[in-house]
Amino acid sequence: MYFLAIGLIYLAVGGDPAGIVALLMASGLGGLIAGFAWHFGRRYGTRVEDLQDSDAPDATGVVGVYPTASLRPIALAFGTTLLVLGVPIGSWMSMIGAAIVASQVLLLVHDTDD
Amino acid sequence: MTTIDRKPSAPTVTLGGDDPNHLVSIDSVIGPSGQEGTGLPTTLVGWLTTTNHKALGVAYFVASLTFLAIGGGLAGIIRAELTSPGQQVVSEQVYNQVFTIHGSVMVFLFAVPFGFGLANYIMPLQIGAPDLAFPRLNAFSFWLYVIGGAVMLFGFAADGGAAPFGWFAYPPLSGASGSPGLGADMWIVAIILTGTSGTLTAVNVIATITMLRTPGMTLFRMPILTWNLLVTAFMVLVVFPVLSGALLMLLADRQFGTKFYVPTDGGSPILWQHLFWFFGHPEVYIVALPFFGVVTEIFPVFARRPVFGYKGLIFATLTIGALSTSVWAHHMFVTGEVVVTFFALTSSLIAIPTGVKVFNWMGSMYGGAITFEAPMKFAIGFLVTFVVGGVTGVMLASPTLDFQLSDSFFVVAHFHYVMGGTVVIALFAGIYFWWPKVTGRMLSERLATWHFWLLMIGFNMTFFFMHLLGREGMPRRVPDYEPISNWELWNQLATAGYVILLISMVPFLIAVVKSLRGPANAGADPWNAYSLEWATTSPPVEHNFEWIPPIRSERPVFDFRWINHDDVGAPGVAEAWMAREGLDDRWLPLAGPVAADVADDANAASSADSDVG
Ligand code: HEM
Ligand SMILES: [Cu+2]
Repeated sequence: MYFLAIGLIYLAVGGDPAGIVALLMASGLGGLIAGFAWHFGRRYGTRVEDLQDSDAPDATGVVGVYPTASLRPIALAFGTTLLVLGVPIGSWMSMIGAAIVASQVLLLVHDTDD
Repeated sequence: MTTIDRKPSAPTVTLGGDDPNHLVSIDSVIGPSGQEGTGLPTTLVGWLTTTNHKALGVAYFVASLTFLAIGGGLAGIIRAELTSPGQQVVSEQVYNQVFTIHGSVMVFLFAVPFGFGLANYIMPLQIGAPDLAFPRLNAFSFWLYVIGGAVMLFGFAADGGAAPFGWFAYPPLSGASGSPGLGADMWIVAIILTGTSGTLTAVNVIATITMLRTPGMTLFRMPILTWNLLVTAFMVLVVFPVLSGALLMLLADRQFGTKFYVPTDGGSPILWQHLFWFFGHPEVYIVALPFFGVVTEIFPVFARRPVFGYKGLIFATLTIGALSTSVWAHHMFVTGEVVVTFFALTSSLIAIPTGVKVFNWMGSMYGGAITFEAPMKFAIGFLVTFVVGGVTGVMLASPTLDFQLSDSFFVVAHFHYVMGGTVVIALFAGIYFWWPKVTGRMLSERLATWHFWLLMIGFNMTFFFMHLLGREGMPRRVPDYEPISNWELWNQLATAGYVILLISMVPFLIAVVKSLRGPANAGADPWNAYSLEWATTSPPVEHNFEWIPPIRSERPVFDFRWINHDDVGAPGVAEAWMAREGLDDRWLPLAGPVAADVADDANAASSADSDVG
């Protein structure tokens, strides 16, 4: 909303095209976030966390299940770096990067199965 | 004292029992700190594979401080070169590379990631969460950042050296013919990678704050630091993808012969400037907001007052977030291609919420019982520096002056006051404040005082003289200058300031080593602080909390400490506490007359309940 408004003002004062596009794009992104929040609010209603007078013992169930240590994140990061760095350096590097990323994603999915 | 004990079988221990004023110490509820695990890995493999938010938080701190050291080292090369006229230390080409990588390392690899470190370590503790929402994504972001940062630095090893075109990479200089070397590509790739890492972290932070708050922690009870991190995350989400897109286009121009920024074929270098500054100006606030949050946590605690204008501060942060994303083109006044009045106006508007913040910080201290422990010293040092930087910033926002000063050392002085000064000083405020929480140990106050004064003197010496140089028109980004007027003297003083800055790190490092060798005896809440992270052991246990006090305001730990006084702290805390009897194995009866009142109320309430049931 905000960006939309600013974008329109800028349009009115005769700004240049690139500026306007950037602002309108940003309003799109902002809209996306707002839409998500709104949708979420509607679907789940008020949660315990938002009540003024709730207290820790009011929450029920498991707080969260936390993943154990994993080699996947660092391997994925390394693969992604090779993938992008291959653009200037050479496609062989991108291919290695892509292979690492693909294998790690598969392993990650496999890990999470159980 | 008339303690009316209604329960004959009540334990003899009462909350605040030994204290004449019935102040509750957190330690007395949760037991001594330092006995339990720290949640931090102990092996190298452990560090490389961890997904724990505290470990990654520490990793972010260490990595970003390492990059600060590297960026500071590069600044040393700059200062060495500028100490006297003529060219001594490096060639013009290398000078260009050095200041480009200095700026890029400081902005992309030090300042922003330190904020992410806070979001990793402190934020979940402040909202009572056991971890971030997506721990593995978090680990991925961290490694993408570190490996991406390494790519940027390895640019120095590339044929032709690192990127030479300044941290904002204007085409045509950053194009294929302007900077043909591989180092330039590596810079672009590095920024894309760290930008992606930042975007993913922002998603993680937003998800955590919306989903993982503990019961009672409503949005308007979140500490200001958490609020600022949330707004920062939204800003990152809006502007980082724009930057990544712009960089991909630049990379395509260089590698695949596209013409996005090439004027001869319908492209436009101005497009780059727009896209870059659409990111670049908010970036200043993306850097700054977390540190604003840090000092907002500190001022009230050491003034023993509630934060002044809690909602006003949040509103100011939101306004800064919104405005800063629409003022970018004030960096482009000199191009003559933008609507100057529009951007001059919006740029001046941003002074208002910033002023609100300064006012609120002072309001938080006004009339308080202020003490000057290390965190408070640095926070006040931050405030002074920030106000000076703000004044020079307002001068820059006026278009006429901007034309004169835009490429002079005045700008360099200004953004070092705003970015460098505030960030580095507030950073140390934060380190001194949370060090006991993270390590379970205190840092020496005496060494901190040395550190503080040396830092302030060194910092002001380094950058004050750059203002003078700038006013007389010394251009930035040039390794050589004429020995006119006082230029040589001022440059020498600036370099001397830099040396003092370096020296100021010595007492700090000594303090760190001494502290880490000492016993972990800081306790849960050494500062008598306010927010939730002080309600757990130092360092915090594996999943952060085994016990959480009732949350009825933005100061749950304060409220709990004063729970025996019914005229201090948020109402309802004592009731909530009484209601926990039997549910909470840390439950202890309250001490003092208040306890009796509350017990009455609670009895009345529960009998009313049972009537209904
Ligand atoms: C250790 C203390 C520091 C010193 C002595 C220092 C010194 C300098 C100097 C002299 C320049 C201008 C070079 C020129 O234009 O000829 C410069 C540029 C710059 N510095 Fe620093 N700096 C320091 C810390 C920082 C910090 C903490 C940050 C950011 C958080 C920072 C960000 C920048 C940026 C963005 C540039 C502009 C680079 C460019 O022109 O592309 N610096 N620094
Ligand atoms: Cu700006």
